[in-house]
Amino acid sequence: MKRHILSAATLALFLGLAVGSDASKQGGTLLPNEMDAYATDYLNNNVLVQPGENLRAYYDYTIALDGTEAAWVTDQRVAYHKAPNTTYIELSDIESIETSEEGLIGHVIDIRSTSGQAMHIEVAPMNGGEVFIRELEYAWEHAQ
Amino acid sequence: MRRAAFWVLAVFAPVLTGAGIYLLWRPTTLRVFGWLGQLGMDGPLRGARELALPFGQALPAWVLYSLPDGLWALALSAAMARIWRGRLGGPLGSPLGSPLGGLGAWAWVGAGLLIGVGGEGLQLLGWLPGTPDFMDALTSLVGAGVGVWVGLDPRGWTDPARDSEAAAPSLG
Repeated sequence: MKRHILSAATLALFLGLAVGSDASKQGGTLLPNEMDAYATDYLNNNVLVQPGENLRAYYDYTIALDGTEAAWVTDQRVAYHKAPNTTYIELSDIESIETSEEGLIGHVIDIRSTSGQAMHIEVAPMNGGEVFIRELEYAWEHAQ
Repeated sequence: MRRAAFWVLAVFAPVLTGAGIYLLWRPTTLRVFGWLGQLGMDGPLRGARELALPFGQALPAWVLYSLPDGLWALALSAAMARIWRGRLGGPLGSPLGSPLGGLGAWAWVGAGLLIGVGGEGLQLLGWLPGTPDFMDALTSLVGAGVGVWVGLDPRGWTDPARDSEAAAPSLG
């Protein structure tokens, strides 16, 4: 019995290592060409991106990478989704974008709309926060 | 002493080597980078990756992309084989035992092979996400085989009795 428990614990440890190195789903900020099917399906199935709206960057907050908490930028809007709620700000309504990089938190993005609505996005360290900011600012410039 | 050397060389070293390959040369979009980043490890990790970059460029693709799978299978198989060594139902306490003697034990010992090679097979069938890769399956197969052999240690190189033999003065 003791050996079975020891074996199960060893296997769990090794499976943990395997999950950590899992490349079947990509984490971090993704550009449209890097999107995994799970993320595209989640956005489409929940009608989170409208027809004719083009995704620019996507960041999934969840460790399981299931799309239930994510932020993304399209050519029309920036969105923050925390299932079942989604908050949008039209790019043309953005008044300011403030960004900073903080050690443990990563990239912090604060967006304010002309109507006063605020959106706070954090991208964990080494998760491509600079790519998300670059795409957001590019989309904003081109929407003005 | 030899027992400790077994765990260090056959289990921890392969795991650390595989983890090192991932951390130094694989894309930072893997989950583990998010976890380490949240622990505040991104600064040192970034520095280590920059230093290691030229070495990674000199390594063949299979070392970067498949060897960690083989090392993972090796370490898991070696650990399992060591846990079950001498309990595999073999006659007269043979360290190798008999495959028919202890199926439960052999299932644990075969876990590295089953997951490493079987996982690639399931990807091929489309039952697991990901792209099947022949080299991943091959390195897992070789790694699991070496791991089981090292873990079972049929020649008894890691038996504690060998320590006293080595320490004893030669009479011949």
